[in-house]
Amino acid sequence: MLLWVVLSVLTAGVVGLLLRGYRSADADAAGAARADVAVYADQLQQIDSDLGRGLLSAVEAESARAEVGRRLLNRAAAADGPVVSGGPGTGSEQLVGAAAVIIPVLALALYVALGSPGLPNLPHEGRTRDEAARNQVDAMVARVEERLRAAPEDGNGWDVIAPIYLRMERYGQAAEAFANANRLLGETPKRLAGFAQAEILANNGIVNANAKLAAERLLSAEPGRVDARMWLALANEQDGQFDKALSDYRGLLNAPQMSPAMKEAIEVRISAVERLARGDVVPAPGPRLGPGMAPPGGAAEVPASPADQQAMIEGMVARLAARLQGDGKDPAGWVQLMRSYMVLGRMSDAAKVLADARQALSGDAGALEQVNKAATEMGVDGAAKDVSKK
Amino acid sequence: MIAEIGHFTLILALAVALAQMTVPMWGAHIRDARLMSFGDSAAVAQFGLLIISFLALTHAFVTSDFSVLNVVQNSHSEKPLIYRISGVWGNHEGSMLLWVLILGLFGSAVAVFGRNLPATLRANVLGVQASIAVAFLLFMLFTSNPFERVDPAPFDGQGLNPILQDPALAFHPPFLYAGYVGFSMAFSFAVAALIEGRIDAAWARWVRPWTLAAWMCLTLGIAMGSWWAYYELGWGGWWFWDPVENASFMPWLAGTALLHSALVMEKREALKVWTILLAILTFSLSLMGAFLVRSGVLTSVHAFAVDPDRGIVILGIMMFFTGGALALFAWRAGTLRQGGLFAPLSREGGLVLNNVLLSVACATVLVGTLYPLALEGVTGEKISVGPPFFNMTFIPLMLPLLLAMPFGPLMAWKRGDLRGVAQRLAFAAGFAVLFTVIVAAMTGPGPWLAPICAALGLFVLFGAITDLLSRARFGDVSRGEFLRRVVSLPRSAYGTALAHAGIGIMVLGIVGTSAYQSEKIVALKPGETAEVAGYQLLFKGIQPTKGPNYSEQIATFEVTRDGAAVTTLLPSKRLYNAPPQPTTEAGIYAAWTGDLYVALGDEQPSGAVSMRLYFHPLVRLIWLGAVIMFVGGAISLSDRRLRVGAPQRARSRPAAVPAE
Repeated sequence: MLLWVVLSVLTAGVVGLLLRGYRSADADAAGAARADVAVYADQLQQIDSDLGRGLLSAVEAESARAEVGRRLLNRAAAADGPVVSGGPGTGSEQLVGAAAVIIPVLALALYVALGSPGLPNLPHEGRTRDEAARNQVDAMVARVEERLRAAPEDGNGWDVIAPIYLRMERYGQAAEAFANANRLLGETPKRLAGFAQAEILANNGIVNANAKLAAERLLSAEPGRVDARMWLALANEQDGQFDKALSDYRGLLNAPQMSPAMKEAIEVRISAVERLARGDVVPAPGPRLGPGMAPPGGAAEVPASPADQQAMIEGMVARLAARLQGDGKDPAGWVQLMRSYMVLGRMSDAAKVLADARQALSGDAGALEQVNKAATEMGVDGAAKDVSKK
Repeated sequence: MIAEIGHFTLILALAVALAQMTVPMWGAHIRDARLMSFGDSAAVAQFGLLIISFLALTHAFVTSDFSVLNVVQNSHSEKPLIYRISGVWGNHEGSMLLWVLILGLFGSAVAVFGRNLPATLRANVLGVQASIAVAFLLFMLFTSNPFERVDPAPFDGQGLNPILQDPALAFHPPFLYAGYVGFSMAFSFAVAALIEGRIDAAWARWVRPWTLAAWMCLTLGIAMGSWWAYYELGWGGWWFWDPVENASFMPWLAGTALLHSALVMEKREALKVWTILLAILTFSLSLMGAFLVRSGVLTSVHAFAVDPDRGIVILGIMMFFTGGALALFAWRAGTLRQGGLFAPLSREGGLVLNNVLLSVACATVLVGTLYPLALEGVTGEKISVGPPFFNMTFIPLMLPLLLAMPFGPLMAWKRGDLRGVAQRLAFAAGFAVLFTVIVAAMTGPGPWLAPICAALGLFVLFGAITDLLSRARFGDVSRGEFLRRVVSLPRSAYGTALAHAGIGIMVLGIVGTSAYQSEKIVALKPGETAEVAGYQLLFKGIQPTKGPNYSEQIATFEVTRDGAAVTTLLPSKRLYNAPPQPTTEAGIYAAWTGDLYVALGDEQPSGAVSMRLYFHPLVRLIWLGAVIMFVGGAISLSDRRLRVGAPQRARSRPAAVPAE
């Protein structure tokens, strides 16, 4: 909107300038007609001054004068018609009026055809790599979605977009896309697995009838697939068929392609199911669990999920806290730790860090000052109190 | 949003230029003063819009806004600020924007400073100028739009060719373009005069300042390009007869001829047809330069738009303007009246000789540049017309030009006294020969042509001084009178003398560095010493460092001469991050007698580093000469007479001249 205001003001300004110039022009005709006469008069003066300097002899000066004089006469003989100031009725007003209309209309039409008025400034500063990558994915998705809206029976389109939805954690749409691709292109193990995974994640870890059916088909297509067996085991567990679930899980433990991490996850399930079977209350498994839950493309292609980033940050913060516990004479470290907690939203931890820092740095006025100042700026609880006490 | 404003103002500038092309010219036709004056405000508005557009693109480059395609393709977030700014014109689209900006600048300068022009001439000039702007704006908007956006925006750009990341090259294109585009003014004046059918001495007076301004800028622009090639390309050469260099040199030669023939036309109303033709051809040659570097016909650093379609559009623009102007010329040439007569030995005769030699030289360069291209186009055979061709054809044309140069300004108009002039120049010639003999005796043997050329260079230099002295009547008048006369000489006299002296100084530099340079290619290990031209260079080793957007290997040399420490040279090789490309940075020590120049090569398996050592005697005089020429032009441009003709001025200050 602001853009259009600016463009309108610019256009109006330009048209105004042009019209104003046109209106205020007086017929400077007499002066203009004398322009070349002035040049020749100057040439005559130049001849005189050259003569005075001795650069020309009297004879040369005389013939030069005669020559310039002839030019002056020629000029007078070839007198142009008078220059007029076009008043109303001469057609000039109409011509300028037409220009004043055509200029903005033409500019606007061309700009609408060529410009991209919707795009904002995008200075490099403030942009991050993730955002750029995400922008690219978003735009690609948007393009495919548009195509699919136009041609909803395009199986290839669904097939392309389904795993992307899955990676973007848009599980419901992913499940739908996998289902469409299966329907239009035929079932493949990859798509079946994708559908099952998306469906389970979309339902917060509940293996519903659709997911179960997909897992069964997958297993019949590729007997022995661990992810399918895992989902079926989960389905049994959730259906209350603990014995079946336990035997499924135990069978999985002996499957050849199990990694230690997967085994560990399964053992957790086994002990949980054993307790459930005894009637204990155990926490339900979260949506992200077990083998086969990792996106099919592998982790390397995936931009770190917010949860992963959070985990990484927390790890770094913990390491920093541990280091400061050992060596507290580092005001910059304390400030960084405080800032980290504030960013993570852990206000009380930040306040605790402030207290710890004051204790560790007591006796070092400069360092204390630095920490207090930063704490006040960040708005850490207890910072203001301390400053007012001073 | 800012990029969009720039895009819009570019389009609006096109709309305004269309109006500027039609309204004032119609006004001139029906002699309507208000319609004619519409051109003035349109020219100013167009320039203002182009400034906004240019600033908007600059903003996108400075903030690294990678939603603008042109920024993505030609910039990188790591680039230092100055090269983010110079990156604006370091590419095809941006340089076209600079081109039309300068076109607008000249147009608005005519509108603002051209009050001394007859209203019809001014209106027609602005109309023709606007038609050139329309052609280029259409070309930009539809084939090379600098404001094209990308969505989604990539995270970083592809970077600017590292060898263009250099201070001299940052300012080389603006001056070069001011030169090229400045000649469009001469073209517009010529076409306007042909349209009006009025071509007289006054016209020549009016066109001269614009031609002079363009010529100055082109001189400096070419010199900067040469200076850059000298220290950045690592070969120590300053001119390669590369087609791209020739493309800028041809308009210079034609423009220099134009400056001189316009002088004859102003004084004597002679050479009218020729001057008009030169004005048209000079701009055509500028357009041809633009075509050559943008069409993909040539491969070079400058060939940033290797796109045959664009090339064809520029070719079309060039044909349209050249062909149209020449057709108009053919139609009107018959009506031009014969001007003043003159004897062959006269100032006019000298200027004609100048024009003949410069035009033939320009034609020579044209043949040497286009023939290989044409041959390749027709037969597919690749030949290289290198320096030998130009040395054999161009230099023989320049020798008589240099010899005649001091005579010209001293000759009288109409009928000159060659004997008298020769007498006045005897001292200059004597000094030149004496100097040359002394220096030749000191430097020892060189090529036989070198002392002759050096003597000519000195003759031109001393001839320029003689010109000033004789204008002030040195020897004829008392010393006080002489000093008074020296001070009150018209500025154009100083301008002429300086420009000619600049040529002489440049010739000395060219001769010195071409004939007497020492070159050595060696491979040194750290701790070893090499010697060139009496300097001992101790190679201390190589250190790696990091720049803002490159990593660098800097070599250190302790330079001594006869045991006395002279300097430390730090030549280096850089590897840029984006795009990853190596460049060499020569280490140069400027002594009074010449440049000591070290360029690094590759490391050998033995651990030694190959390097080229040069001593270029007097090489700086080449660029010093160009700067002196520029200053001479500027002084001449400030001469009162180039502004005369404004009626108000003549009325209000009738006695402004007697002091001279």
